[in-house]
Amino acid sequence: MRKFHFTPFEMPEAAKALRHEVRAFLHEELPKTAPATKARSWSGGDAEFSRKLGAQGWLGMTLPRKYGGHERSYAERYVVIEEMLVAGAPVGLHWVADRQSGPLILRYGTEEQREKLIPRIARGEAFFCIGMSEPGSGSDLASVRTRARKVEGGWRINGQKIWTSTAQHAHYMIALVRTGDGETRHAGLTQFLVDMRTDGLTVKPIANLTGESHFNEVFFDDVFVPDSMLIGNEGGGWQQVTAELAFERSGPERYLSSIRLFLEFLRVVGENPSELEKQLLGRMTAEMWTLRQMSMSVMGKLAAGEDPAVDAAVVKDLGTSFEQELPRLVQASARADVTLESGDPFDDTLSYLLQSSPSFSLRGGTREILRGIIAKELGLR
Amino acid sequence: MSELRTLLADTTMKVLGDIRDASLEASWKRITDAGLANVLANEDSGGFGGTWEDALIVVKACGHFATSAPLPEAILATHLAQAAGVALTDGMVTICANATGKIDGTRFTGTLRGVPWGRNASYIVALIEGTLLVASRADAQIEEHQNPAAEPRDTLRFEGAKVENALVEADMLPALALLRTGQIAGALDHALELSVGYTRERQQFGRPLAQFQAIQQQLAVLAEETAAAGMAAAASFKAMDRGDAGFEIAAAKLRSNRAARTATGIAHQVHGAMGFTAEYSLHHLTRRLWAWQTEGGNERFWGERLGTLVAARGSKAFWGDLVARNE
Repeated sequence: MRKFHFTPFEMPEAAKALRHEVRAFLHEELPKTAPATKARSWSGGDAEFSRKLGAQGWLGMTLPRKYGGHERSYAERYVVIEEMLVAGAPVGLHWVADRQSGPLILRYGTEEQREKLIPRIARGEAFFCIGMSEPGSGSDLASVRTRARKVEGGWRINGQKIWTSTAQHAHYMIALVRTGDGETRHAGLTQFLVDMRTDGLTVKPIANLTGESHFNEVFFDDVFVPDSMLIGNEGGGWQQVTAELAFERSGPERYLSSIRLFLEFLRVVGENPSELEKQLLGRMTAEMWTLRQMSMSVMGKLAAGEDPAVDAAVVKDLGTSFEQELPRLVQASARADVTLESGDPFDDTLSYLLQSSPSFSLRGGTREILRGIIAKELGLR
Repeated sequence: MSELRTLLADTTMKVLGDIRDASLEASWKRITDAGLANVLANEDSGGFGGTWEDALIVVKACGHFATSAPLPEAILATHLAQAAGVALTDGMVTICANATGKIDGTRFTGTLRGVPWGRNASYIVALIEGTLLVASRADAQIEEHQNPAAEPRDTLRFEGAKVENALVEADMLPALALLRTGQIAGALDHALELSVGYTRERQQFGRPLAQFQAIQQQLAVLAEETAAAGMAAAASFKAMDRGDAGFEIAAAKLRSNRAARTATGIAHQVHGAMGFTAEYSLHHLTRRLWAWQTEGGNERFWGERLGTLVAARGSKAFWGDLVARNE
């Protein structure tokens, strides 16, 4: 049986100064919006804000200078993203590119792909989406049926992706598609960089239960992708996708999605909280402190070149369970004048997070899939 | 891990593993011979000269093995006595986190409650209003009690007893909370091990329980809670090495109590009736896990303390305060 070892991570000296710098920047540049808008954070977006972050050198921070990156440490990037999330900055447009597409292209991409795309990611000009799920393929990702057929000079893709977040704003999709029928289900999958403006590609937003459209259907009708846009190895898609998971599942966005409501709660509670409110504040603080230590522990392992994919699954399940429970607990203990009627900053934030929180334990790998991964590591399957 | 720390870990596992079924007297001799209570004591006094992170190795192992001796308490007592400049003579030493009474010169009149192994210890280290006192068990009138895990938690009454004492900057309840956090982490580790092992062997419907998704999903949660408690313990012991760890201890005890609450339920559920028997070893862990959630402060106690602190600082200071704990 494998055991999980989460070890305390000490932030380097540089982190403190950088944090001040980021706060000063946010104080000046953060669009003045209502708390409920801030609560959207990495589900919201603002192209101009993304470019400003790029100009600050706060995108592609860990990537090499020769591709326009900044060669900063993982810890420094961590400081920047947690400050963005806590401030409720509209970081959703560049989020995927900065978090995983850039590192993926660096690791598996060709020299041409790196030179072409990483500088644009680092400038906040190229936004990415992840083409994984399909109508018949959600948690069972290996069953994808969208297929790329080899043609002269490239590939023709046919099929459909679904639940693709920010596809309507993205410049590129990194799509996982079938290029062959291997001996196992995990073989024969390949990742392609797809230019979202390509003929035959159609994006159709899907309204979620709040009426907003973050995710989309993406249709591929004989979409041509040149050979130069295949990432990594033909047939190596599964391995490449799983290598991204530790990045995707361990970050502070996996426990901070409801931080705006916590801060609003703290604000309305004021200096004389009731016994019930103190209890709730104390317990939520303890959760956040612990989750932050765990999330930083995974970051430390990533920085050391390890692949803490299962640790990341632990962080994501605990973190999303917390951020999902937070609005429910706050609702249960809110004072009688909290009516959930629109127009009040606290009520609006609570209302938004109550409704958006079901997605927290779905996006990026469902709770059940994560627990299955952990069970496997325990030697149960 | 450093070589010294590996050595400490190996010694601890060996000693605490060996004494599982030994008498208290024999156990304490092994513990003393190995110098385990001196992990924090400085090298000049024959101690290990370790950090709190080193101490966690021993404290966590006490939880893992459900050690029936006041070893975590002795580590703390030895450390506090040394910090106060009070010499301890040989013999079993324990602590008291619930002391009331008065010190008049070198005389103590008062009551020490909930003293772990009070009936067996030679000395008890307690704090009364910033003064550390070392009382001798021989001077006490003893009322025997026990916690749910049948660990001695005695009340000792003193009437003008001669005590060593000195001023010290310390707070006993948070220190006890820290110890229990470490023990909870160790006990959960072991409960997870037992649960995984049992469900892989126990067959029902023609296959091991471990192959059922319903069981797998529960054990994954048990593993997650164990990981959270382990993180809380590691980070709070590390904070002790930095200095002021009041915030971390509160947060860690809250989180590890919650982990223990969830995890004991799962561990018992997947063990079925077998885990409920006196014969099977799970209860050595779970009964302690129930006791330790109360000892050193329950969730209500620490929730109120931490909540009061956070509310007093306000919404604008919250995040900066939280990250400052690691920077």
